[in-house]
Amino acid sequence: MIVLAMLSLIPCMLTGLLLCQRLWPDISKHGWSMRISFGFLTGYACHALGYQLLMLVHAQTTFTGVLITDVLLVIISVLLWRYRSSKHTQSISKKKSAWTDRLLSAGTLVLLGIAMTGVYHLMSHQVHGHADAYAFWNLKARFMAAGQSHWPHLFSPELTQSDYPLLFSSGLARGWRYALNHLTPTWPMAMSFVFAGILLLLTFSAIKLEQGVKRGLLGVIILAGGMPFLLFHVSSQYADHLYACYLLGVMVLIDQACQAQGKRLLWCYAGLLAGIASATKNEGLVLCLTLTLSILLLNDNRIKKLVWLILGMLPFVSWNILCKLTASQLNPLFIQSPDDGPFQRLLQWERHQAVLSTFLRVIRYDFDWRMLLLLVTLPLVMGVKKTLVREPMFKIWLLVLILNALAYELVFAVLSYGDVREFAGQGINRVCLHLWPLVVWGCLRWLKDPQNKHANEIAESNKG
Amino acid sequence: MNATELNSPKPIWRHRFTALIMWALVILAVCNIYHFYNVTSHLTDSSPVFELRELKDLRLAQQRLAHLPRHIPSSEVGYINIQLLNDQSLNESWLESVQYVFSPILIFPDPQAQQPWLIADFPDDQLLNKFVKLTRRKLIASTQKGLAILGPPDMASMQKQQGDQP
Repeated sequence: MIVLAMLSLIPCMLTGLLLCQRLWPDISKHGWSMRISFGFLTGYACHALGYQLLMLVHAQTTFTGVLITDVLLVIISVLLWRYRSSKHTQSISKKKSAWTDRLLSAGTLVLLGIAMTGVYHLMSHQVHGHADAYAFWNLKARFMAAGQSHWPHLFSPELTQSDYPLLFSSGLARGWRYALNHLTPTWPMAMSFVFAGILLLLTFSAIKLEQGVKRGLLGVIILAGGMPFLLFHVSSQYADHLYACYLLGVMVLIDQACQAQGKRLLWCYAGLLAGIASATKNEGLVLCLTLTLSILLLNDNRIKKLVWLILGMLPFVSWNILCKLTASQLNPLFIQSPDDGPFQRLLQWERHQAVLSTFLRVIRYDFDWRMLLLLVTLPLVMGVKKTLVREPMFKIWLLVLILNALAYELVFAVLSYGDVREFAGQGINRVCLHLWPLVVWGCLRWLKDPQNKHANEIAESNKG
Repeated sequence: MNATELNSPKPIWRHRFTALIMWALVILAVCNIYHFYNVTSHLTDSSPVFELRELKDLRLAQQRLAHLPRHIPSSEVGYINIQLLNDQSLNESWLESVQYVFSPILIFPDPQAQQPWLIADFPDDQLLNKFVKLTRRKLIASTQKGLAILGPPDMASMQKQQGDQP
């Protein structure tokens, strides 16, 4: 059954590869690792969105319905890709890799194998995932797969965390449809593995872009093991590493857009990924808000950039709002008119008020130090070239994160296993986990190595 | 810091220091991964099959109750969080809707389906008793914090109840 569920990833990859080729034509210059990571992140979200749309139109979803939706999405992405493909030119220059690179690659793979075996051990011990996973994401996915017409109950205030976005869960439910409605717990486990792999691949390719393969592989090792609760979160099937994927993806795209002038579609793509992040975890809403504020702080062409960014955000953010507006019929506010159609529900002001208050509550809850951290981080990372406050504050922020990681190392070494896992679930560590890939990426890009030929070549070409 | 200082090449010791930090991080990461693997592989041998998910009180309760089966596959153990419920909302219609959420953990007894064990989180004893009565499950153990282990539904009492009905 898990093989059938894994088949559902094929259309995701196809759609994702075509869409990211359309939105970022230069991606083909950056190697397969970049293409696969961005393709998967985009495609998974698009097909999960397709599944949600299908459920909204017809709650009794069947395998045929899901398959037709998937095929339609692939066709749409082919059409979009063909619209652009005439302008696209490929210029890939393959260099023979050095033996040290190959050795380092093999070593990294062995190390990751060990890490993933550890993750598997822990996962097999808690098949439904850790607290938040079985109480929120996996549970909601099960509801979407088995609940049929009952799925709007997910917005019921009687359920815990009815505010949680449903994108990741609907992707899981879609996979279970491919597995012929066998709700095998192996599928969410596999997806947790896949997203961990994508996060590592994305970090590798983002660092490799400017610093070469060796630095990229070192980045992967530091990312996987430098903060041990990343592995705990992966084995717990949490959504934090998913959110970290999207956050890093957004920043890589913004960095590329800042470096190359006139790349409007890159801003749009960054906005799209930020929108997907907001539909994956509520913290994504804070990301969207912070991103908008950060762009306003930039001093050139801010309006144009902002417009393209918001255009990219629109599909997923507006869908998130629309979904809550039309499906939340169990909320006590709407109980007087449960039989209204979806379009009639859209016209009820009380619904808009309820959804707005939900979003405000989420943003207010996550605002405090998370917002501050992001507000400091984003302009700093974005302003690598266009300096804002830059180095001193970035160093302080980096120091806080590294000290936090070191403190965790001590706790990890001293306390027992169970207590550490509880510690890993605390808010500050989750935020560190969200930002950890960004730290690794930012650090390894900034730490200059005079002997790094790849980086020197890129610096020379930039100067030229 | 002026522009000349920013563009000036860094002294050699700073590059060495940077490289040292980077390699220290790499070594730390390798050690961490090995430690993580060591901890988790050890876990498989030492922990009971019955997964109680760090709920220490329940583990103690489990140890005190000799009649609790020790070898229940973790896939048959469900978890339900009823902390946020109040007395009014816990009724049959809510349970009927919520059983779709906990699909492998069927709340209502069904002779054809598996009858898994349940770990439940309740705000108080009153709600726990109401839940047990509604779902006809056996209460195996409960703690002061409102956590409870519930066994499979009592089929005999259910059939008797159905037989009593006209």
